[in-house]
Amino acid sequence: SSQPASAAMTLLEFFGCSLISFSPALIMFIFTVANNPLKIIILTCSAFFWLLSLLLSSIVWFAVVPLRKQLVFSMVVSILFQEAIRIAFYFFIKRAEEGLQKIALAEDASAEETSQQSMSDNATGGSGGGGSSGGGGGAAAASSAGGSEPLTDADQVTLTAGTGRPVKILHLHSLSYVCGLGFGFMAGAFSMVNLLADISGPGSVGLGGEHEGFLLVSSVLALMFVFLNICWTVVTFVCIEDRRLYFLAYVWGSHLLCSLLTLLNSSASPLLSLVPIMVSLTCALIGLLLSLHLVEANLAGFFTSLVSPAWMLRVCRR
Amino acid sequence: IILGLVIVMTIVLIVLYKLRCYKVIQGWLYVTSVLILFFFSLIFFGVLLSTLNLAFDYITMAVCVWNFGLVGQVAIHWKGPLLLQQMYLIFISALMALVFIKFLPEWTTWVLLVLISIWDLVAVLCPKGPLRMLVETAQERNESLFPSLIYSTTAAYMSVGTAEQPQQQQQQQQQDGNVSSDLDESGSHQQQHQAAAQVLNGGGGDGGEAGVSGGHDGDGPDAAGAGSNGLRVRNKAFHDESHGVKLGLGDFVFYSILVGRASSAGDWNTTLSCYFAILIGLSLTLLLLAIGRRALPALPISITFGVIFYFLTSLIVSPFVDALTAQQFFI
Repeated sequence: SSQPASAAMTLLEFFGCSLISFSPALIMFIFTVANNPLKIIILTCSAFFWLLSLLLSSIVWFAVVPLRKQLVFSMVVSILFQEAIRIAFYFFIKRAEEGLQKIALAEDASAEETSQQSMSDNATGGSGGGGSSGGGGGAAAASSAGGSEPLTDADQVTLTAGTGRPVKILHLHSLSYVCGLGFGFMAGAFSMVNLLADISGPGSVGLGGEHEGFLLVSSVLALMFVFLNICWTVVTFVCIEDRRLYFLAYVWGSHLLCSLLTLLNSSASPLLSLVPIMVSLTCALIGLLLSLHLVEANLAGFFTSLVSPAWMLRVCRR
Repeated sequence: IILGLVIVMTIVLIVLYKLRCYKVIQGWLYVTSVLILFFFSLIFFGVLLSTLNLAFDYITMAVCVWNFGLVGQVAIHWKGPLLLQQMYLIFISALMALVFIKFLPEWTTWVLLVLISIWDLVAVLCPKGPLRMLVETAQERNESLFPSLIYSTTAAYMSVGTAEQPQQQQQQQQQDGNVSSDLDESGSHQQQHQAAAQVLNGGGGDGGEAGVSGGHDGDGPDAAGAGSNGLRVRNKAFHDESHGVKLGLGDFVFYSILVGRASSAGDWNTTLSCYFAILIGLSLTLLLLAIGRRALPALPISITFGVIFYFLTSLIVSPFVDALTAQQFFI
């Protein structure tokens, strides 16, 4: 019968589209985030914050009843909320880091007391979200290098030293990268997930009378937006950190540009959808170069890392 | 009605615990875990196979389920690799949640969730609350008997951490022994509650909540117990031991119920947002745990977040996102 054949066909399409949209994000997650629990927590937090921004913008959409059909208005509002939430997340992370440092310092201070007390402090520090990098001052020193190094020698060194140096729990750039990943993943997920669910049902290709490239365009745009979000977040965080606020204009401008260009998607011709895709691609590349420049990473090194995974692993273990 | 059952079950459990009727509790737990692992798995796989239109004869099915169930029994109640134990516990929680979702109408589920979280809050935080008594009794007797909700992440951390420290192996094993014995009893407690839940349709969360509250405070007695065993435990070992967070299995059941209900009633956006809301609620609870350092109910915050987000998303966000994606506008 034709049922297994059609099931296979739609399943193929489902996997194809989902992999187009999410496989880079997944790979980035596996290689850079999955082995560091603190980063996983930050990823979840950032995804949640994006969700909050979406919630706010949809409340606005819901509330402004006469403009419900005009999605442009709500899109602009949503973009504004997203950027605002990005900036807010930066400050939130800063506060959280200070809190974690305080906990780390407190553990340092109590390290000279009975070992059991320091153990319970480690418990609080550890479960306070520091994950593998939160426990004790030694852990703080280890986590300044990124948190996925073994805690052994750092432990013994710092618990005896008991210095009160404020250490960064997580390097800002890897943190902003993780945040961008979270934002981007959530954005892509919310755009794609219902589509994907419909795809795996019986028969797609067009999904309600659209042109045949509908699914492909959606997946590719979702992919683009994941990358774009990463770049925007990195640039935003570095800008606020260094107070070079003019690069924020790039972020806001390119976000508005890419989103508003997707308005062109509504027409029936797939060729016209090439415009937003290409523009987003360019914006993503520019954003990537810009963020690398701001992060002061070595461009040549970055491109070699794309070729040799080992180097990449070492870089991203920061 | 259900809440009344939950309350009764908690009180019964506490009475049993206070009177040290360990045998009764353990026996009950074994029975319930057998029940769940065998019969529910059977039903679950049967439904799964019929959905996928696969043919399966009874004999093969019996062999498969028998093996699966037995391995689960061993993994939960006896020593086994931690990952396997965690997988089985998660599977059981998911099965319980499925049962609840199938057999409760929609509004009942939501009201039940809200009420259980309120009860959890009350039971753990009020001075006279039964769960709090449980926790304090466990602390007085210096036993880690109740960190049962028994989903513990401790040993996982330990195995990761001690790869480079051979001399800590022995201490780790000792602590492993501690932890796994806790897990045994916690598993059985949880199972017992689940058994009661099957009969009375409400006691499962009870054990879960007891587990969570006991679980959080069990870290302290755990560390104390291990230390008092005369081990010169290194900082690292304690790091890992106290990093392990113990979470009640009943909590898992209720989270699964929430997400399951969200996925069955709505589209994927709702499910995703509920899932993330629960995760964030859990992180917040852990954070509060770190700050407060007492037994905390894990349910209320997460469930509140989850329920709020479910309703908000399904009513407001979903139409918005649907309108956007239908036209392929990306925000």
